[in-house]
Amino acid sequence: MKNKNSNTKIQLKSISKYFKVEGRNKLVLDRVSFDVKEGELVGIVGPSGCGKSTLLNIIAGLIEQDKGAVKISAIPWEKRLGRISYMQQKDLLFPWRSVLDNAILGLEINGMFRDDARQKAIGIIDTFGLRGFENQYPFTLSGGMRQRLAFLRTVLLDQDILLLDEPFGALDNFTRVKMREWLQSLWESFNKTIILVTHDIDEALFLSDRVYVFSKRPGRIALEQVVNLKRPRDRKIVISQRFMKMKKRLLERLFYE
Amino acid sequence: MNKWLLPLLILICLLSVWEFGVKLLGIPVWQLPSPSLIGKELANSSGLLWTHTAVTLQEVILGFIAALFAGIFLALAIVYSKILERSIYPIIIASQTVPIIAIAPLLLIWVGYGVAPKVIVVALISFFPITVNTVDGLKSIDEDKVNMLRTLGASRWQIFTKLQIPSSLPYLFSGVKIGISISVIGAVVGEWVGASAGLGYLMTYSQPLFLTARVFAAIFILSVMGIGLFLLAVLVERLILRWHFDEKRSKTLA
Ligand SMILES: Nc1ncnc2c1ncn2[C@@H]1O[C@H](COP(=O)(O)OP(=O)(O)OP(=O)(O)O)[C@@H](O)[C@H]1O
Ligand SMILES: [Mg+2]
Repeated sequence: MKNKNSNTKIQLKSISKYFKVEGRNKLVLDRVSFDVKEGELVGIVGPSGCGKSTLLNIIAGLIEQDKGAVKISAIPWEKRLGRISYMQQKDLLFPWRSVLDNAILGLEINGMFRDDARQKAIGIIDTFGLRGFENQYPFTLSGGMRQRLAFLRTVLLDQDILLLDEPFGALDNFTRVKMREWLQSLWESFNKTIILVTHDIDEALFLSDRVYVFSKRPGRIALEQVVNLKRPRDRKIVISQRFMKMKKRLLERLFYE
Repeated sequence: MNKWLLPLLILICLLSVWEFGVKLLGIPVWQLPSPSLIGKELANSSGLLWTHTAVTLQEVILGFIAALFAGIFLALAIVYSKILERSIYPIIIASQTVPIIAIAPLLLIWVGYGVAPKVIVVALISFFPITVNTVDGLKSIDEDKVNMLRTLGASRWQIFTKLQIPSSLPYLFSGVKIGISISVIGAVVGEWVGASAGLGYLMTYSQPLFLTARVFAAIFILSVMGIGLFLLAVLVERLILRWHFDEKRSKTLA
């Protein structure tokens, strides 16, 4: 297992969120609290519409919670926008930018010269399986490559915290399995704190140190599952006894209602 | 190249029918000259025609540039100010019901007989499609992409330059293509109501003298001018929006 110091990186304290729907307040997140340690990967699974994306939006600073607090490294960061990497459900690539120029968007926004930014991106483009496509437009890429490019754009800014919202949701099963192994090896090498939202229980257990199961809306934590499996995890781990037991527990909780 | 073949064939057919029809039916030249006679007129009076073409072309280009700037500026103002959107936008749309031919004589009274009133008429007729399309383009912005940029730390200005401008360009070019095709009409209308040069002037001058072949020669040049300007806009569009067309092509293949 990877060395983790026990510093708390992300602290969510009783986060609640309402949305106004037809003039009435609808509770979407109900007092969600959990901590993520530095270098930890925490998975979140839950039924559609339970507020998973909303929670990530709040952590990233895109929207404001109605109650509760978000603390980063024990400090209540008010201005989190631009300081936490966030990969949303869609790839959101710009069709008018080449692959390379899509990747460097964040660097450019933070004032790096284009040429320097391109150099930096080219340095790690191999890891993302995009070598040879630098000057193509995104429409020439396969679904898996688009997702990896969105990923590259997200991590190139090199923030400590990475939020991933269904990063492989749009992909076929085969590609997804390969992508999760790729993500595991990537994560081993870059020591970031990650929150991963997914529909795929195998994916959550395979990648995470801990998994939270959310109840259906209003989302609250229904179950915490610690995943004590040795890393790096092998593809076949998903059919091991211990994995199956955890999976059974999660499934039972997910379909409990 | 195949897509040019059919229209070209149809055009050749029409011209032949015209050529031989005129001869067979014995229609007098002052009523309807044959295409070959119009061609001859183009060659014989090339010096005169060119002088007037240059004047009209100048009016069109100046007017269109004015329309482009005014059109984009108005679109930005409308998109960025709710008050302007509610006040000016309806007026601009309503203004399009006022026939331009009715305004042209007034312009003569206000700004005189020179190039200015023609340039204004061209601008008035061409800015509208540019404004309307650009407004649509600026508003078609994808909120998810805005949020993505915000998580990367983008300022409002960066969102404008890196997302809003590029994503509105295809719309802007639709407006430019319409605007530039009708700009020639604007120049002719401007010249009809009062001018001393230009192809529109040449037509109003030649028609009472029954120089019908010359009127047709002027019409021919005007349409070539319109088509040429349109193709120029298409060319610039293809150069600037290469990604747009590559993507469209790949989608039609798929
Ligand atoms: N801006 C908004 N205004 C009103 N309601 C919203 C808004 N954003 C989200 N919601 C509602 O909040 C609930 C939670 O949405 P959210 O996108 O967080 O769900 P999710 O868990 O990510 O779902 P999925 O797994 O399908 O992505 C949904 O019922 C959604 O309709
Ligand atoms: Mg979601």
